[in-house]
Amino acid sequence: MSNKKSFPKKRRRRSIIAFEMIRLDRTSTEPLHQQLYRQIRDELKSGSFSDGASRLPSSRALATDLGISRLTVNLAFSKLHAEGYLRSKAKSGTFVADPLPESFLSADKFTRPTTERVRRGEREAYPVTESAFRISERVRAVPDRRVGKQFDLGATGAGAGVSLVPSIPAVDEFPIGAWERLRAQVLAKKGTHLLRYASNRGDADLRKALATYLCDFRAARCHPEQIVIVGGMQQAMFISALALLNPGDPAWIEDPCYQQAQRVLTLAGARIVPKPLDDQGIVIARSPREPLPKLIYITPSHEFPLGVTMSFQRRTALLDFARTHNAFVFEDDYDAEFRFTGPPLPSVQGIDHSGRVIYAGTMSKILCPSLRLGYIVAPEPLVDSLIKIRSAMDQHSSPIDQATLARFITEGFFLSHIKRMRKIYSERRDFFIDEFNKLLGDRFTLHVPEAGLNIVASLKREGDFDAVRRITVETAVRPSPLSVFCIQARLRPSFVFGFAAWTTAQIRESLVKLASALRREGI
Amino acid sequence: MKKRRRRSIIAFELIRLDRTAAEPLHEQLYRQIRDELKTGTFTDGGSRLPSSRTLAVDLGISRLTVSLAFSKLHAEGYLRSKARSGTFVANPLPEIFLTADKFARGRIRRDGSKADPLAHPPRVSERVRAIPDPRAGTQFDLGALGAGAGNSLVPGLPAVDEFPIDIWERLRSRVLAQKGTHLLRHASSRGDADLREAIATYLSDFRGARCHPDQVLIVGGMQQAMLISAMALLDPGEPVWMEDPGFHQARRVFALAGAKVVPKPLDDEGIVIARSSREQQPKLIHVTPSHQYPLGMTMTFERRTALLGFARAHDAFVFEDDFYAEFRFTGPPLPCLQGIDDFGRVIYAGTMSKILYPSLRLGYVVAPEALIDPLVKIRSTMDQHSSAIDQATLARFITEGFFLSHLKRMRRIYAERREVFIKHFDELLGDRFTLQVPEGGLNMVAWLKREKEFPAISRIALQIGVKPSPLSFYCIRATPRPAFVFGFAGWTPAQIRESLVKLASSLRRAGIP
Repeated sequence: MSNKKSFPKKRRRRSIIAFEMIRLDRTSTEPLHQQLYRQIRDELKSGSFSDGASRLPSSRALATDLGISRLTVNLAFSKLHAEGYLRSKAKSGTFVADPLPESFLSADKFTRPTTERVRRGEREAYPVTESAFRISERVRAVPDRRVGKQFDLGATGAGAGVSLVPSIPAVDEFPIGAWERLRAQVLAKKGTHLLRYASNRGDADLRKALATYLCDFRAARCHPEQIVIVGGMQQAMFISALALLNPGDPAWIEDPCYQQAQRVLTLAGARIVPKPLDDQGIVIARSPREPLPKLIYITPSHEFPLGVTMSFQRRTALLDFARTHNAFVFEDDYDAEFRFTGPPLPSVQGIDHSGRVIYAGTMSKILCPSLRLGYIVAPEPLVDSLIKIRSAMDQHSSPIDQATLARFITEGFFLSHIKRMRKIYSERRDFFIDEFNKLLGDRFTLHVPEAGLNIVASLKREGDFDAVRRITVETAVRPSPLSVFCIQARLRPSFVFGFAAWTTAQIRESLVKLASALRREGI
Repeated sequence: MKKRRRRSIIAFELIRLDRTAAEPLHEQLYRQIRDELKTGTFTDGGSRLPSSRTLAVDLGISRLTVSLAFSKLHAEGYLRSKARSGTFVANPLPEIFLTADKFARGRIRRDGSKADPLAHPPRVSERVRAIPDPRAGTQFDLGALGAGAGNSLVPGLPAVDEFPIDIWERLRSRVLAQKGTHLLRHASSRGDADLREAIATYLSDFRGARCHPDQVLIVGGMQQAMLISAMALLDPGEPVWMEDPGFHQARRVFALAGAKVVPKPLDDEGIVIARSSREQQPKLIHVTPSHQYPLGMTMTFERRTALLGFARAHDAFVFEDDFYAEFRFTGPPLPCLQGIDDFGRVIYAGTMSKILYPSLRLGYVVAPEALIDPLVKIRSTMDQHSSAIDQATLARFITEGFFLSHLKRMRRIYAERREVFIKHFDELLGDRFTLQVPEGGLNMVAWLKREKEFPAISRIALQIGVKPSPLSFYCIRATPRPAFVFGFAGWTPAQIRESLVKLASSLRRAGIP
């Protein structure tokens, strides 16, 4: 400001000088005001006027100088105004904006500030938080060490070209053509209604279709009003945990367990209490000093990653425990549809008589992960709280996707897709087991579960672990070490293999690659 | 032992198989056994089935047929096997709660009586109870704004019928054809790379933001942007400042994040930063500087600078909610706060809900680099990512120019609707209300000239389905004069006129002077 007072002449001269460079071409197809706008903008971009005190000539003066109408000048000025190059001050005229939008755009666009520039105290292209700030406890507590681009690989960390990664379904078998046709039908029928804000509870047709499916095939007991559509299994867990737990309240989880469950519950502020597993499922025994859980997270159909199916007795015992201690059981039934041997057990939800089970499923494994659709079946008194959270969190899932899924289920595509996938997976599974035992049976013991898309292989010689792990990374045959799923559990060194997403040829190729790399290394 | 065995044999004497039927024998057998079991006389868990060999001989059919039927019953949970003791009727049977009872509410006990669902009413967490949202049951089905079909002039609703859904769907199929099954896999928790770049370019060019694509994070709308930011910066109980009156969903989101919501008053320059010495420092300050929600004032340049200075001095972050910035009708646009922040204290967020359509559930956060990883970590934990297909489609929609031309078109449409609304409103209701016309946005506040008319007008508006929101709905501690917030964007000029005529004549009929 003091600057402005001491050198008024200079500023005015500078702006007039600049505009002497303007050349308008009346024969050009580009309108005059557009030419004027462009040339002034380019002048401003050159950067010599960005001290915030450079004033523009009045539109009248400029019009006279250039021999054009004042309207043309005004059009150009208002565009420059709108884009942030100019600003007006009442009773003092039009000034060059400071900062200019351009000072950090165009040439500099997307260049990141360097520490060197920070040290030089240079005006930065991108603001960098200078003082240290504190990230919340809950976020720091979430066990996830990924940074930057590592988050681009998705939850399973499986980039292109890696194989036998656990928990990846065969998305190339998803009938995307049929799906898109149904989508078009749904859009044609319901029109713009599907573009509006939608129910926080989820599409009514979809909830009904799921209730029917769950009653018929998972022996769940539910009314469509008990169903809440969510954006996948993690959101199901997160919402349930937020509804039931105050920060610091204990939640039991299986150990080893689905690592995202531990992350979600931690983010929700839960105090994680890992519980060991035996061959019947989660061990309920509790030392008297141990706090009572508010929530018990289980994967009874097929424990992740060990594959244990929770026995009927354990299910009953768990429900009794939950009822006695006023806890809720979160039943994660993520790939219950893929059971290959042994009779299926009905869901825990289906044998619960006291409204203590929150049942959740996802379309990620059955259809495809990027659909981001799942569902919760909750005891009725909990439903409103869950919806309230969803409504505050992110409102709802895409109604177009929901309506399409409802049609996909009610028109029978869903069941036939499951049937087809069960056959494909069953073939891949048998093939995997055969080839694995042939090629790697001397090094690993395969623990074949009744269900699921993963199989645990434990090392026969524990000392091999580090070398095997290194080789899996090098060969991009990437089963996960069992230890990544363990919290306190100390289990035999093992790897969790996924077989679902690769053809039999690819499975063989990967296993051959792994076996020969191990042989070459002299393991 | 005897009794159980006899009971199961009795039942199966009723089986009649019809070899001439189109239905396969094993299917008939399966169905008839299932129907027998459904009658419920065998549900003590001790009823044993005859062996498949015995049953085959009894019925004169092959053992394979019996095995097929049994395995189906097994698979559906009617039977269970015990090693060395045979096959038993499952207890509980799936059927006792299926078919007839399907969708019957409440829990049915084994003895048939209903369990009292309120025997142990669940104690929900503090944070859920702290969310100010009195809705229950089917009220949640109307969406965020509670605007069912047939309601008009509800604030916050864009004109979705103007969205070029055909173009969108064409781009979608092109994107699918090009990227194929890749789009069906788990995707980046940061968001589609093309989309982040397209948004960074757009924001740099049109909102005066300063951002690298790596600072952009794709989220599932504005609320998720707020929730993630609050969870990253606040521990439960730490204060968030909010404009009062302010965006009602922001209050809900911050309550869910466990924050202590501290309402701050507004003057005509925007949020008032003054703070009593006893007051705790805020960790996060939520503002709507382009166009305050719901009052509509634009935060002045001076206030913006002061706010940034405050944030810097007190180690707070500013959450800039730029939800309506694209729709500005008069006055020069100010660059966003993020663009004038030199100290990395602004988290900028925008949404596609108003520009494109709300149910798309896509928005973005532009954060200082040091905050990106914590934000992505939360997203990855919370729900992984937004639909990869929608993100890739939006990237194409932007890069191929449809986005800007849609924006331009909508700006024209909204400007026209705004003019119509102002004109008719003043004509028809100008005697009762003072309309406060903001420079931008899709809502307008109308102040009552006679305060005591408020309850009657509220009641009548509700009755006739013309549903502006009372200003008090957005207030936390503020007690402004009675006013209503009208939305004009989602209705055609004819509908706007019709709604205003309806409201004016109902008020007249009701004898409100």
